[in-house]
Amino acid sequence: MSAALLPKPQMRGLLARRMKFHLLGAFVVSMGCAALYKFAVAEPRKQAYADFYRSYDPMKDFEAMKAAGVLESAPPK
Amino acid sequence: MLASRVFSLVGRRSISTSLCLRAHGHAGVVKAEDYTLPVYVDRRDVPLPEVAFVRDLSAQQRALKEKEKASWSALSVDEKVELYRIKFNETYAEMNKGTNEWKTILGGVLFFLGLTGLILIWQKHFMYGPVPHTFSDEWVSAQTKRMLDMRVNPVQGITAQWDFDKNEWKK
Repeated sequence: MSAALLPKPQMRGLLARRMKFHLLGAFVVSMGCAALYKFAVAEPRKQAYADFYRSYDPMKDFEAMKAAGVLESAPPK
Repeated sequence: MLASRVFSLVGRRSISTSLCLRAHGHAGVVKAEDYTLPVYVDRRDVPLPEVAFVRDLSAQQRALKEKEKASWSALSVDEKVELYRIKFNETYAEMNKGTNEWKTILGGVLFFLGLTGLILIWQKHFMYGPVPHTFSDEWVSAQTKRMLDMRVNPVQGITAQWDFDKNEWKK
């Protein structure tokens, strides 16, 4: 036991090191989640809506719904 | 002051605890109960507990403690370890060692989940009546057709999955 001394462990700055690690990690994880949501959910959804309404004809849609008989005040005949 | 008033009202005898009763026989000095003295704890955030682990030393241990008063380089490794074990119960490594408790917990949780599943199966088979008629296949398909006719959720939802030209679900 007295032959080889163990290396002196880190005595100071333990909380500071832990805080630095966790602050950085929290920032990266939260920013990452936000970025992931933006590019995986929000942007595709905006694109889908833009594409849908680019070539949308409301009158054609109305005629289709009327013909199917789902409009109470606009019967099919 | 008020406490002594209460004493005279209710009577000393009924308020005395067992400790006080014992004190009356020992000239008023109460032996300190174990729970009132500082205790030894194995905790990561308490590196030097208030008392040593071993309270009553054997003759051998007392001799070792005497030897400790001299130069420490005269102590052998085993003696140093013995002195450590007198002062502390577990080393930090032993204290922080993980257990296999998680296996028991996981097993218990899964077991009770399974048991709950069996109970639910029994309930469905023996207890519940038939589901409402609105769950039948004909009703659900008529319902879905009406949703498509109304163009429900046309952008990303159900109507977006239907091919109106081929009259079938999109691949």
